Amino acid sequence: MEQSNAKIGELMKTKLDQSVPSITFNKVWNKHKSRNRNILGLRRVIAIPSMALIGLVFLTLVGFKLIAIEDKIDYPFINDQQVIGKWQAVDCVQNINDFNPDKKSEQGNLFIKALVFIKEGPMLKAFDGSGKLEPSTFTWTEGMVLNKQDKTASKYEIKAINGTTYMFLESKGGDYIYLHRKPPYFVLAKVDDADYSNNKLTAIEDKVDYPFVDDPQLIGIWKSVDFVKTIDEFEPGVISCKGDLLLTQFDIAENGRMSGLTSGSELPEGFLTWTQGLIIDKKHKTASQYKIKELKGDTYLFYEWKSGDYSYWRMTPEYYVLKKVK
Amino acid sequence: MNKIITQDQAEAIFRDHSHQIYRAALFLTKSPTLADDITQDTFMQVFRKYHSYDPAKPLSPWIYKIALNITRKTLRKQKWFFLTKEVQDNEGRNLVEEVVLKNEQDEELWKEINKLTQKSQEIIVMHYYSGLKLNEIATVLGIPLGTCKSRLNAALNALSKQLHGKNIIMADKGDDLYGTI
Repeated sequence: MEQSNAKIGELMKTKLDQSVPSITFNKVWNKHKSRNRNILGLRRVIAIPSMALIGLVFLTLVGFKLIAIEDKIDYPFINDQQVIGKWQAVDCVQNINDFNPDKKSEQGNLFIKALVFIKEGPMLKAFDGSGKLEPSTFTWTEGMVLNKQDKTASKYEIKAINGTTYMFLESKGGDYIYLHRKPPYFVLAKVDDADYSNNKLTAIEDKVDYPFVDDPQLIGIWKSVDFVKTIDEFEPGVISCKGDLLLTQFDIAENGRMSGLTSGSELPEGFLTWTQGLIIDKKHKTASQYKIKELKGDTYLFYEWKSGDYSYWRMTPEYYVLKKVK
Repeated sequence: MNKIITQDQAEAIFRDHSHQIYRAALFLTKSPTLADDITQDTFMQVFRKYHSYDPAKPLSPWIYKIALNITRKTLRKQKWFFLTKEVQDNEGRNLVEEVVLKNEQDEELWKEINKLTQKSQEIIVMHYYSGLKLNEIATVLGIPLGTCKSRLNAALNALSKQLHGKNIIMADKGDDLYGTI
């Protein structure tokens, strides 16, 4: 019987001990010395410009911070009834007197599309092409629009020209903040005097007073399985929606009665009602269409999800997909 | 504290360790050219990083750690060259084989050792040829001693399996030859 462990060592010695490297110490040492010199040389070449560049960037950033203008923005709110409502941007001019309603001086797209002044200081803004209004961090007080992020206070002036009310609002961007240039003026035309508090005036209100029409196939318990942009997007067994679903279950009973569950609470009976083709939320004035489909042997309910995105921002509603379990 | 290595120190280190490193590299790469390159790169790195070596610890495992990293990198590169059809000429591939073993059984064992995985070959050469203790090999490989023992046992088991039925029976495994500590 062989003791192979010991044999391995012996065998390796037999096989390897006669082999010797062809390289010499001098060769390795000389290479080591020359590479060291190269590395040091290279370090110097790279390090000096790098340090200079870093220093320059640092000084620039610090310098910009030091020279940046920060307006006083902690003004108390003083009402100005004439600004309340929506204003549409029409032009941008260097001086107020440059404005000519018949000839725009700014040919490109205006950065601001619309501003809404709400009573007691809040504001909405529309910055993109769709003109969609969004909550804004701007606030206003008499004579000024305050930007807390950029720390600017932009003065406004209101003028009636040819029967239209215009606002001339200082546009305080980087040129003003860092380069201390005189700000140009956005010119905005008054659209309405409406009260946009909660933006409710613009919310869509669906017709909700439909008579009850029976739909026996809707009755039952439905559990949410997915949330999709369009009905055709849904594929049974595939979950396209990332994250938890807010609506988890519908318990749909006879005569338009229904209740449900969300991930955080219960939808009590009476909160929603139904009639053939529609699930109705009388409180929020939405009537959501539903569609029932048989897919791969299961019955699915596609329910239009009409949230604030639909009511306030006119977005196309997406769909909850619920599977019939009982 | 350590400082930059002097030429005398470097020469002494090269003299004491270069042959062992070369042979281990030769065993792992089967190529004298690659083994030469690995030896050269290892000692250049040893000289460059000498300031970071802790003199309270044995020198051998520290050098082997560097050598093993370079060998692995070299073998990875070789695989890449192979894939891109630029295989480096391993002209001396059979040099090791030129040493004729005295009997068939030895030839068989040698053949099977060379069939082991790279990891197994690394531990075999360091333990049975270079004479490193298992705790030193654990340091070289950056693994716990227990893992090191298991790896050696696995290598020996694999060898034993390969040799099954060939009249070579593996004896006890692990730390019988050089000890753990």
